[in-house]
Amino acid sequence: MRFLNSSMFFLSTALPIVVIFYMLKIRRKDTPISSIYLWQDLLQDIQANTPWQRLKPNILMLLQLLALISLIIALALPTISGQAGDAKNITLIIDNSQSMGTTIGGLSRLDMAKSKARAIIDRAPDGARISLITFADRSRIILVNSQDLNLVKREIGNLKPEGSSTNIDSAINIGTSIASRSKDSQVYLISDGCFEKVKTALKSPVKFVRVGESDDNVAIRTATLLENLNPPHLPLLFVSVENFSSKAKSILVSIYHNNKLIDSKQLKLKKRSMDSVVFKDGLLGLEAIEVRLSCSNLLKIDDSAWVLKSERALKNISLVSNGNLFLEEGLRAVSSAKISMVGPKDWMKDKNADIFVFDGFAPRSLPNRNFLVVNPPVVKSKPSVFEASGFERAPSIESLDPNHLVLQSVDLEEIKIARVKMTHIPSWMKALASGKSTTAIAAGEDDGRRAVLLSFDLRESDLPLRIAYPILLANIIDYISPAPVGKNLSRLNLGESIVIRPLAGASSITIDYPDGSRKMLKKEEQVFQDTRAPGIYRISQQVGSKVVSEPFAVSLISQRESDIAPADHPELAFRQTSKSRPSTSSVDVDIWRWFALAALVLLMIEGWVYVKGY
Amino acid sequence: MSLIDSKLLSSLDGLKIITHRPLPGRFKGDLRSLKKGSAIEFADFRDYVPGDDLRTIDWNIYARLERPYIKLFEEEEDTTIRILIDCSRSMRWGEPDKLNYARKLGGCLSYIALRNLNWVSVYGFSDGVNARFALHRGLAYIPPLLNFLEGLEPTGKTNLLGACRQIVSERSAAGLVFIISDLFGDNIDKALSLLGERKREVCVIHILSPQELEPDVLGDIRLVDSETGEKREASITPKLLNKYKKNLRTWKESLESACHKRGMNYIDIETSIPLDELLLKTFRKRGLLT
Repeated sequence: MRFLNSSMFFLSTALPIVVIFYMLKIRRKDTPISSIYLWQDLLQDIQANTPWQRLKPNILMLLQLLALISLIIALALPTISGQAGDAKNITLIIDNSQSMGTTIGGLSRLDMAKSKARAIIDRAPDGARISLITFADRSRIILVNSQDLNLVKREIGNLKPEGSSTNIDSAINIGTSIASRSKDSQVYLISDGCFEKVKTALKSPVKFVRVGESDDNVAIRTATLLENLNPPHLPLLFVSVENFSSKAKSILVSIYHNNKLIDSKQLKLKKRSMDSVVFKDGLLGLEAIEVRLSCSNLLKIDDSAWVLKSERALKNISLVSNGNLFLEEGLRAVSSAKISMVGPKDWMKDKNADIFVFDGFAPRSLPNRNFLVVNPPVVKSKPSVFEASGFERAPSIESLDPNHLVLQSVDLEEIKIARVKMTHIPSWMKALASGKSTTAIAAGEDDGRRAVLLSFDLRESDLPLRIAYPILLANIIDYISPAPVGKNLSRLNLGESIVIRPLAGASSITIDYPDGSRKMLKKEEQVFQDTRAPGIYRISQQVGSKVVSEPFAVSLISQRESDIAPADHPELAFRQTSKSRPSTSSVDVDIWRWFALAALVLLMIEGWVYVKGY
Repeated sequence: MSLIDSKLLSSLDGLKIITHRPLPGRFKGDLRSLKKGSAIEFADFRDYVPGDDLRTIDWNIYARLERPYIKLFEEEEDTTIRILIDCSRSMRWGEPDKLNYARKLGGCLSYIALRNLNWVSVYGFSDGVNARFALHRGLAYIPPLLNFLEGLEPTGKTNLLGACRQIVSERSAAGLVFIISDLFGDNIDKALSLLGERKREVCVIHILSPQELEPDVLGDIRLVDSETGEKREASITPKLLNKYKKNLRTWKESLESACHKRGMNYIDIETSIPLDELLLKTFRKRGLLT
């Protein structure tokens, strides 16, 4: 027997409370009688003037304890092994996110999921119709109501881990929608459970077949190139590593250039903890750096990450400010671009600026370049875009989007901000860090123009004194820097797409993959999605006799995918839910109803015994 | 006569109280006694002893058996009737009220006795004798006696032994004694022994309310004794109620046995029984009234 919601066992602390109730004397109502003469022999167990009484064997207490135990077991959602149903319409939802690439004994979780799926297909009755849906960072409908079981098995066999996140809701939505169209249907969700809680309403029952057991993984969580604040502004490589396993780990962090070892550092991490190392030596002049972890763990794809030296077309930053030392120095630390100070009245005249940074000032008309707004001004009248109407004092950050590029590896937990402004944020921006009634950090893109908002004065927070500050500024600059080829980023997560825009006069566009292969692309604006392999990609455009090329790095940096501890999902169990161990082909049938029924029956017996007075 | 309605009293007019052993009286009365004497109804024979009236020798028996026997006759004479009414707090209980019922019953018995020219004395007791209606004879004392009964109020707890000690210490304590009580108290046995001497006939009327016979309490409660104020916590379950009833039955049986052992009459009554039914049917059936 297994329990899907074993946390409910904390309710067993109520068992002693039941016993204590039987030891406590009851507050009784005075009932006059003519004489207690005839009652005396019958009431010998009562002791006067003590709040406690001796605990005696009591059938009512025993029944109540049994009922409570049954109820706790029912709430813990017990399951036992059983055979899967023989529905005619079967929808298979298979998780092919990166966490499914976790391999133990040469067999990955995806391989286990495939064998589970094949077993379900083999048990299906004649004439069964199979729908196949996969999900990673997005859902894919592979087949709908196919009766060609061999085709279904082939498609299942072709599945590979992909993406850098796991989006379960749309897959469940699609799968249960397909199943709800016919009565004799069954949805199987085959996954390691490494996804957020399912929020979508289930339109038909889902049987959750879980694969995977271990949480043994370490992963690179950040790899960022910064410049030393002090001259001669030598490069620094900041790497943070997280141990997701429940055991302490000793990890060797190494950096390579063209497969040649540059430096190594040892990290010792306690279970489920994170730490960082900084590399300083041998980085000058390196274009691409690979970071590798050497440590035994089950998911390898997140043990490497690639970092590129910023070769963006960011040459001029126009800082529209009346003077802000923190901001100025911070920008100098993360970018080698020239920073020109411009007054609020003159910023529109600055035609050389690649990006604008507005500090304590909101532009009436938005610039046609990417920009950062810091500390928006407070106005008394109705605020326009990037103007504030008031403050929220000392807010605590209640919601965060740590996966957004701007906040990657930025630890905002300990940050203290005296006042966050209630800024009028345009609808195309997304709140990344919010308090109760204000948004501290927001970012977004509108018609090819990217913008970031820091809705507080840096001088009214301890952010500039923390390690998170240069990382945040580096992320922001990375996010809003223009790129020579379309709007590419220097680093992407696995499965993320980029827009490629042809340069004027480009006669050909090619892309080089990390494995050395090359592919010719169309000479038109296009979305490039084929970023399934980690490594360095390079987009090259032939303009006349000149080749303009831009590299970008693809790595898996995702807490969701690296945290491979399999999880149960009770929210799926409230429908007819089943699970399976990887070593068996059966599904587990939930039996919580039986325990709930037992609790009810025991309570009824207890009531009957009470009335009968035994 | 607000205590007892006149219709009930008039239905008692033809009744007489019966005693089952010879009791000394003052004057010739209308009470039917088992004292053997010189009246007209033959009762028995006994051996002649020197000093006996020679006129009472049955010469026919002497001629046949050649031994002198004295012929005995039932004698009708007046006797003294004492009615002890328990006025402890536990008697002010039940629906109908036990004390009220006891006062009415005592009134009816007194009425019958006074009508038959017997001497009647009534005692209200709890911790001891609280109130006493002195010995009187004749119909004229019916109204003051009923007034006396109306004035009896519940107080204290049942101490039958104390009350009996006071009664037996009186100069002439012989006669018929009625005890009307719920008997919730200690030393009942001793009290009965004290009363049950040769010159007294005792009738114990054990009175209980329907609520005592079938208690309507259930659940977790604190029982409060109406006499002593003593509190006892209890979780009353149907099973416990059954035990209580068994206890009650055993207790009544032990009281009945104690009475019979001493030649006393024991009658247990419930206050829900109408008084006329009790007197005209039950008491007559049990040989207390005729």
